[in-house]
Amino acid sequence: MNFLNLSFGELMALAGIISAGIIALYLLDRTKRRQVVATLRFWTAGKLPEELQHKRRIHQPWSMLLQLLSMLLLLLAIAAPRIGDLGAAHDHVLLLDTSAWMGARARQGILLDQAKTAALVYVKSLPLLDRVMLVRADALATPVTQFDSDKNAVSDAIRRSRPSTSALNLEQAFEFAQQAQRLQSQKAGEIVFVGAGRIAKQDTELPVPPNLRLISIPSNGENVGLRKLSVRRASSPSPGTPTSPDTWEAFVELRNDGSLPREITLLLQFAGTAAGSKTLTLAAGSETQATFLFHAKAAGFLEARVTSTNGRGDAFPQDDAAVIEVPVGKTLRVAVYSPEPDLLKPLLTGNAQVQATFDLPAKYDPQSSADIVVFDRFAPKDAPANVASVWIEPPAGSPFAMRSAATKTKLERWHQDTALGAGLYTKDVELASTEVFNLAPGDQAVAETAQGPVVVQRQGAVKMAALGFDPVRSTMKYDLATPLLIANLLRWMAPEVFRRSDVQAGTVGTVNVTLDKGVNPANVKVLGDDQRPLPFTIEGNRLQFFAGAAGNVRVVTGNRETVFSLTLPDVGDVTWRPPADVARGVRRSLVESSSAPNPWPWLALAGGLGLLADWLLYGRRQIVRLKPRAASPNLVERLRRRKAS
Amino acid sequence: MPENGPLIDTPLLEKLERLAIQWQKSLPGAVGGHNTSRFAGGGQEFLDHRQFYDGDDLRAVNWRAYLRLEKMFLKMFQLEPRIPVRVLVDISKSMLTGGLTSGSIDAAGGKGALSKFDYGRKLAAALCYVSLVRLDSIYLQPFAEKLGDPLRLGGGRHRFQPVANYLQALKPGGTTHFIDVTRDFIARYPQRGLVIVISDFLDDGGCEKPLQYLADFGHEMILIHIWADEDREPPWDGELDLEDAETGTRVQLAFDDNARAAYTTAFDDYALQLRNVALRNGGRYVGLPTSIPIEEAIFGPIVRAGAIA
Repeated sequence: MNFLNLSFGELMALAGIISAGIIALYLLDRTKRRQVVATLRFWTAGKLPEELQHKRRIHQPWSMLLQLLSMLLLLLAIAAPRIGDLGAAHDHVLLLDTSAWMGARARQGILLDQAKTAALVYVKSLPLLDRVMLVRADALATPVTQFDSDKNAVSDAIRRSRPSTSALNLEQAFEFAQQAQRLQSQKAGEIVFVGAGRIAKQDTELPVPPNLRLISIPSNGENVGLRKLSVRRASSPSPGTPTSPDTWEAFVELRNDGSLPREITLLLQFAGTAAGSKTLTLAAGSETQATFLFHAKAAGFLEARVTSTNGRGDAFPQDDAAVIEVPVGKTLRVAVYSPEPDLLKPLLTGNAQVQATFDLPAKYDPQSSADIVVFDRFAPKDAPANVASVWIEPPAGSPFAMRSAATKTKLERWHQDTALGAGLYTKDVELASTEVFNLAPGDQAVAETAQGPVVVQRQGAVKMAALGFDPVRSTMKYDLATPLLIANLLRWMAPEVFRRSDVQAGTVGTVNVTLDKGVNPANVKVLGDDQRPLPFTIEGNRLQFFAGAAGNVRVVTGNRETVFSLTLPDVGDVTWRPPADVARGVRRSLVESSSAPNPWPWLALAGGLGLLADWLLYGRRQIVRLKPRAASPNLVERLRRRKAS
Repeated sequence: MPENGPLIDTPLLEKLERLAIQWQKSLPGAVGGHNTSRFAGGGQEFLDHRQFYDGDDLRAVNWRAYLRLEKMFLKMFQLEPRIPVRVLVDISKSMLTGGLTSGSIDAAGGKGALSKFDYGRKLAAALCYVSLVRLDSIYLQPFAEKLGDPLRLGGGRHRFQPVANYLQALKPGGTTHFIDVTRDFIARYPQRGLVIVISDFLDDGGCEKPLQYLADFGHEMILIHIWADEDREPPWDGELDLEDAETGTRVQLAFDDNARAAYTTAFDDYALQLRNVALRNGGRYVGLPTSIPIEEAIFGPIVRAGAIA
């Protein structure tokens, strides 16, 4: 006999401690009641028997024995005794395939239902003392139980398994199982894989554990599904033409996993209305792409759906549709107050995302709802405190302090390390007149002459910039640096408007993102649904992160933001073909060796019944007897009756 | 019972108004009471005629009879004496057992009933009120080992408040010694009268002989015997470690149904002896368990025993 939960020594020690406690309690004479009474004359007058003087005798030996026996039975139930040789027991690892493909249709239910049934048969076939660790295998190998001989617990864990949305990583699962047997098991048994074994094409050559047993779940591989859906603003159709912020480009990628060519219809819907459709023919095992252009002024959901046109069934309908949310197109409102408003128009009307208004200083409105205000040679008394502002040749009263005015001075240099001066270069630009500024704390010089800074940026809660000269009225008018300077100004003051935004629907698991050239890894952020950063790696211009569950992930890289809507299930490419010498199915001998049930419930029941019997026979009577009895008839009446008789 | 609560509430006092303490003996006393006496004296009710002797009060001569018979007859009137009512209240420690009261020794067995001490105080207050209403003279006398300081009162219901205050100020304690108390009582009160003893009569030295002495000296006794239910029929079973509330003596014994029956028989026999002592000497005996409410006890067993009517 073996005890699974306690050693024999622990069992005896616990039994000894509890028995000693019970006997001590009985020796303490729990029945004696101390009572203060009005007189002792009637107690002695009634010739009541006085107690024997054995202070340490046990008053209810049968009750004590019953309690000792009951406690011993309960301890045995806790110890979980098993009849048999524990040393002969094996520790098995059961890898249950819970990848996305296990949600594919089967004859009855889904593939995972068949896998669960097979796994339960295997667990039930094991000898009673064998222990099993259940591991759910998808992109990650997740242990659900420890090595446990309680087959009911393992079976419950098997029944609770659900298909995930990631693909199977079989190599990792095998490594985990071997490591678990190496580190935790006493005597390694089998590594049993139960599932369809749908893996990535590049993972087919994987090392196979020598003790592997395969319980294969056959599946119909005829499936056409979406692999990728992405949306981004459409690029301009021709150079020089402003890009419409309402035009979006949708990119769809599909794959035929089956062995036969399939003709499908790809339907694209935005906000419930059709945005495009295409009929495509996919060769067996091939991938194809489709691109759609559509207009969207407001945010909404874009859905791509695949339907088969030749009537063939799809084994895996979960990847037939994908939905992503198209973000709102942002615009930047700029208010310009200038004595010559037409001069700045060419600079601010070239971008469709910028909505600029041009007015004379006399029409200045402090309540304007503009995002950026440009003051050209004009300084109002009530300049807005919460709006970014650009000051061109600011007069007295502006936030920037002028040191001096310079004439016919040469623009010496641009500070490339500043946000406004990035990428700017001019040669031999002589300014007819300009203001030279004093730098306040927090100010950065963007452009300088020999007299001092003439372009200044001020970083703070509200961004401001000052230009000591008007670039349109200076010799810089035809210089490329002028529109670039304005572009830098707008991008610096409102970066969220000009950030390129892509939305992609993809599969969970490992996601690869190609970064733009020159992206500083320090500025890269990968954020989950709850805005918490996810771990990622950057190798060259390739960013890689892992998402184990469906959800949205935002990748922010400088001026570009990509939202990954990881809702598509990741399906393996091929079915794994194991070597021929791998054991398959459930061994008949194992089925026949299943043993008697665990006796601990019966022991616990017997112990409980013993305690209940003790309470009914001894404990309850004590409680009942200590209750005051009902009052007897009045003594006077009794005396009167006695006298009458 | 709360320390500051009234001993008897007003509705019960109103019901007590119509009661009077009853005597069976004719006892001498100052005129002014409500009890008739076989002795002639200065009362209102005509009793008899007798021959006139020198020195008799001329105002009592029946002048009509003299005119008709030319002999002087003296009218005699029935004496209505004011008999002293002496209420002895037991305040020994044994009175604290078997009920709920502040400072009680064991409140477990009472199940809401008053302790004998509180029960006795309430009874004493009720009897004093009845006496005051009938203009009797009252001596309220606590006792345990010996007689305590008495409260002497008379004259009407408006004097009840001192009685209530006195009773509420009583502190229980001491051991009962009826023989010493009786000696002290006889020495202190030579005038015969009505003695009402409210007690559990639990004296290891016995109560029968001292009570007989009291009767022999001409006092009329009303014995009000109070007990808790557990005093008469202990509810416990098994092995008991018992402690005498007054002496502290301890005894350990086994107790079962047979022992309980023997105990109750011994208690009943003792109560019967007390009753015999009272009735044999022209007194009255009332046995009251504390489980009977005070009002029910007064208008039930006490009235039926003829102590008050």
